[in-house]
Amino acid sequence: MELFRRLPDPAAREALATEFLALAEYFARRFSGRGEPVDDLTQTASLGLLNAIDRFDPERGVPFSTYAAATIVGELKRHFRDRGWALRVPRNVQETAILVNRTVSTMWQDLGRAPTVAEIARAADIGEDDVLQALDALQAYTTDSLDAPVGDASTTAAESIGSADPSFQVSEDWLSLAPALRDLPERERTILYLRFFEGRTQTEIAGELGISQMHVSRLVSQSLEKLRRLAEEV
Amino acid sequence: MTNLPTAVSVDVPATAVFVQVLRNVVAGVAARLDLPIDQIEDIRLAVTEAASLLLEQGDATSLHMSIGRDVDTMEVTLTSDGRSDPWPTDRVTTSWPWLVMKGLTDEVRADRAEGAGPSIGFTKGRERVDR
Repeated sequence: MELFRRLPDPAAREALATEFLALAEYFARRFSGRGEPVDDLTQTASLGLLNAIDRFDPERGVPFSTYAAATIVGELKRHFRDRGWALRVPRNVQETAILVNRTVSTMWQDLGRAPTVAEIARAADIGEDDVLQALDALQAYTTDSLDAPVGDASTTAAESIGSADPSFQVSEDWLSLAPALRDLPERERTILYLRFFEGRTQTEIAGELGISQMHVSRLVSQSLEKLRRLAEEV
Repeated sequence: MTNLPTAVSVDVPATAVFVQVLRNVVAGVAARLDLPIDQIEDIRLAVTEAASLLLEQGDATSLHMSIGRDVDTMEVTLTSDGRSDPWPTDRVTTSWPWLVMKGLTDEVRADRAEGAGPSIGFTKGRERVDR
């Protein structure tokens, strides 16, 4: 507690980070084995820990370890939400897809636009056909992981996304265009509505829902795919 | 319609399974044109929607896809050998797949050429980006 009173002194921050590093490492391990390298998870968890240190309010009577655990798990969940995907892809494709996914995510952020296949291939040092195959796999397989529980089973990644805009309602005449829209999860319906009925760009939707453009692109693809499957079942 | 020189054309059986082949082909061509991946995905999705409209007619046995392109624009046309007559253009242009294609591309069109089956095409220009 003494250390918290000395914040934002960098030395105190550093000391706290060292003291609670084991906590970050513990949660990083708990989230391992899901297709993300442990190093990345540890880094993500450590970031969560630093955020917890910066935001912790000792006056509120919550033990720091409790607060830090929640923040770290939140950070890890966000990590999986941005990169999350199911594990059914064949192994070699899966490894390439992890690499491509990470490369795309970084480049999209750095460039401020989507990279080209050639740019991704250069950055990841793999063939362009491998990039295309990986992108296809990523588009196809993310749906499952979004519906799957992340971390503890109480919230799914999709629910976390939806929390950005819980009050959204879509108009009836729009739903009549494609009746299967009614059977889509609400946030997928929301994204399709914004994209195709209101004509919003991916960038605008990303801003509104607080998720990355890459994620919006994937959700659009997957929602359209799901919609088609639903329509076929009718 | 700009009628760009054809770069690639392909014929596949008119079944849902082969739509994946069309998606892969169009994505491969778009990648070679150095389009960013979000636009490649838009094009891939638009092909899927166009194919679904043509397959909906139910009387086609094969689908033809031609891809024309210049430096800045890709023009994709899907034609079925279906005989459905008349090609219900009004119903097509008020459908969900049409709305989606319009959102994903710059221009969408439904045609029926003399002696050919119904066709759906779209044009997608490279969005201006600072490189």
